[in-house]
Amino acid sequence: MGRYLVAVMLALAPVVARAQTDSVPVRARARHDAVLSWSPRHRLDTSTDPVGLEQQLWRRVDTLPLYHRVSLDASGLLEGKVSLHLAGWGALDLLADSSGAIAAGDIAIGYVEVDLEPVRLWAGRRFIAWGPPGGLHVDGGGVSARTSFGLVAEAFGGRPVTPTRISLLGPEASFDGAAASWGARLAYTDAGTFAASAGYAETWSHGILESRVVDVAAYWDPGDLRIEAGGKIDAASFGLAQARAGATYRVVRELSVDADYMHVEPGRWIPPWSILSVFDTSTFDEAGAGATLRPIRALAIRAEGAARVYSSASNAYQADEARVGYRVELTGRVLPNPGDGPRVRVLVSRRDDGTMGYTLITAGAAFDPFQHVVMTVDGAFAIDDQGGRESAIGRASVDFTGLADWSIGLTVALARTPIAAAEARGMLRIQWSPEVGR
Amino acid sequence: MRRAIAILALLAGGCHEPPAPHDHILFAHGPHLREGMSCARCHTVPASDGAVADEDSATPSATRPMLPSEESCRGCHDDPARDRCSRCHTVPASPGRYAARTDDIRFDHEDHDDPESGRCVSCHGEDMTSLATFEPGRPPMDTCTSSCHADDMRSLACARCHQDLHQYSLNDVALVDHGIGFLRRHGARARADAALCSQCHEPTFCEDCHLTAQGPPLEVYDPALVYRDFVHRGDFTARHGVEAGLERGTCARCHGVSFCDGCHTASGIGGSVAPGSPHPPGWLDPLSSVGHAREARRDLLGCVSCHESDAERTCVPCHRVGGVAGNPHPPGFGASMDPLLHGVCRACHAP
Repeated sequence: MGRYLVAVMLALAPVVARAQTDSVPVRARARHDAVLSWSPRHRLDTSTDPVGLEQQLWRRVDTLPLYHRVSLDASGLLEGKVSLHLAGWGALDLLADSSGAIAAGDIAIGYVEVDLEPVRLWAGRRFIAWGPPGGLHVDGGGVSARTSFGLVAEAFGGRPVTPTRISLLGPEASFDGAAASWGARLAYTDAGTFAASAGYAETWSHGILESRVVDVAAYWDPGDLRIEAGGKIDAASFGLAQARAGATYRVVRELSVDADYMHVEPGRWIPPWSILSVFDTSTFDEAGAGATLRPIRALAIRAEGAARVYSSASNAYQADEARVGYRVELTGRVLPNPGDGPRVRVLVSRRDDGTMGYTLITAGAAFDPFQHVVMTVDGAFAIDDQGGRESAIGRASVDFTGLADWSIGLTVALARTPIAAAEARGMLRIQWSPEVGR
Repeated sequence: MRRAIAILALLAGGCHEPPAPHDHILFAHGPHLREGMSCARCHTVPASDGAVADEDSATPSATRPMLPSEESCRGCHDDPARDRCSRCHTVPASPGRYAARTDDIRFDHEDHDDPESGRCVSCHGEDMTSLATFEPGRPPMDTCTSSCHADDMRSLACARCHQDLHQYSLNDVALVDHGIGFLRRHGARARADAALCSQCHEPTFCEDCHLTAQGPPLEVYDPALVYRDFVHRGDFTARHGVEAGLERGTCARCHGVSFCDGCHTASGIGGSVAPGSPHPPGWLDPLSSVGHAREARRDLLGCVSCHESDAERTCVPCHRVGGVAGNPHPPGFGASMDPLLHGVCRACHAP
């Protein structure tokens, strides 16, 4: 699949170039990543020993997947009125011994948009950010309009291919009933200062209603204060599926503080065709605060903490359920201007849901030892309080970017997982990212 | 390794002579304005046929019509002793022309104001504190967007003036603070005004994370992005079981309730067709501290990730009407379920 996508993009490139006009600049950017990784997997096999007892043993399964990821964005086509966006992936396992699919691939998005100012039309496969939690990929079309006084209206309709309900993108053959999705949204925006949006999206799958969601979102940035809020309301059985609100205040240029609230009710995401949708499940709420210190432009240090409250028991079986948990995180980042020094990021995170605590440390640094060479070292260490599920990984990568539009990289890693005491991994990466019109 | 990298870098970079210095044309507005010269004396807006309306005005440069030609300057600067080449040229040995006009902005002076009107300072004079030091440059964008072009800003008609926003660095043009921790906040902003995001980010940018495909995520196959926020840093696969338990349901926002099943089945861990069970002893005891009832209420999506396809065989035998287990419905359940439409009802509630 990846090869086909690359071939399509190569075929499109001359078309894009020919479409260039003097008046409106054509800009096209493509990217193709080919990733060949060697990483063992493990399979839990059950066998019976000579005395008839069942035993389970992990068996190592070597895999050599070749993964392709391609994307193409072209704008300014046909006198500036048409843009084209395409992203897809393909995977091919080069070792016959591996379990699971040998080859897979799909188009993530692929649509054409026509700008008939102030109206825009699109057709193809597109990601809709508003709608069900996690967004919605849909095959279909839509229209949007944006007025000079900031009013935005848009609508879409089509067939849902969202990965939020299935494991892979694309319609599944097992869909035995009608599948459709449509929605509309109305918003007012004053770009960069204020925006408020309300949308409604309805999805049907397997011939029955999957979700009715009212999506509301807004932000307001009056000077040093920044506020954002959003929520997804389950309109089929009225309730709040998820919500988030936060505010950030810049005390001085070097220091800002923020507060955040989140509500999640995951049970509302289970589609009603699943028998499990009739079971009770918990929700959780999180309220937190944080502060970001930026003593110099290139350095940021952030500390945040949050308390989590899990839903109260509605049944005797839940009497011993943990009620309160917490999350604390400390993050540091060094991000100078390009070419001015190493990029560094460190995260220390501690989470506890009342029954289990968990600590995670990740750190990484990228630097340029020579012109056109980027070296990266990064790692992660995670451990839960009960022990036995700790994991650690250390990686070193080198990327060579000296060839026009091309980048070649190699990564080696050593990892410890709950299954393997130590295992080595490797990855060869080739990236091609040509651009037209810059 | 270092030697190999050094060779690669040498091949790529090669050896170069230091570049020759470029000539720049020196000019100070202050002394000219103090002499009482109007802007229009030097800055003319020639008609389409190249003609200049005022015969006292400077003749325009061939390369930059809004700037005066050298011949016009020599109309005043005609003293050979005082007005040497080095007075205006930084490299008089190889004098150059005016720097080419950058084409990042679509702008036509003729459409805005005639220099004859004397209103140049309405855009170019914002930072003027004195005539002596005044050096007009390109006015800041706020000069335009806070007055005549407020509607363009509000409607994100950036292309009306900007050829291509992608050529600027993020910090120069971003109206949104992308500081550390922005990943958690980006959702509401993207849903409220995705068009603002798409001024700089192409639609395929969202797919870097929302693609949710098989294969390595971006942070794995592009390790140089070490400074960016990502959800799945490090060896996430090795620790996803713990994280999924702590962040109940958040996985399903992107991955779907049956996302886990394919990999778990292939790995022999649970799944609808797997031979072994990953559950601990006492799992079926509803009063056990590790019993399935408590865990199911805490994290039903965890059950769904493996059992959605075989839930009728796994759950219904005990939880159906008349079964040995209790009523599985939460308080208030039923508002949206119609037994005639929803086949799942009939699994327990026989007509």
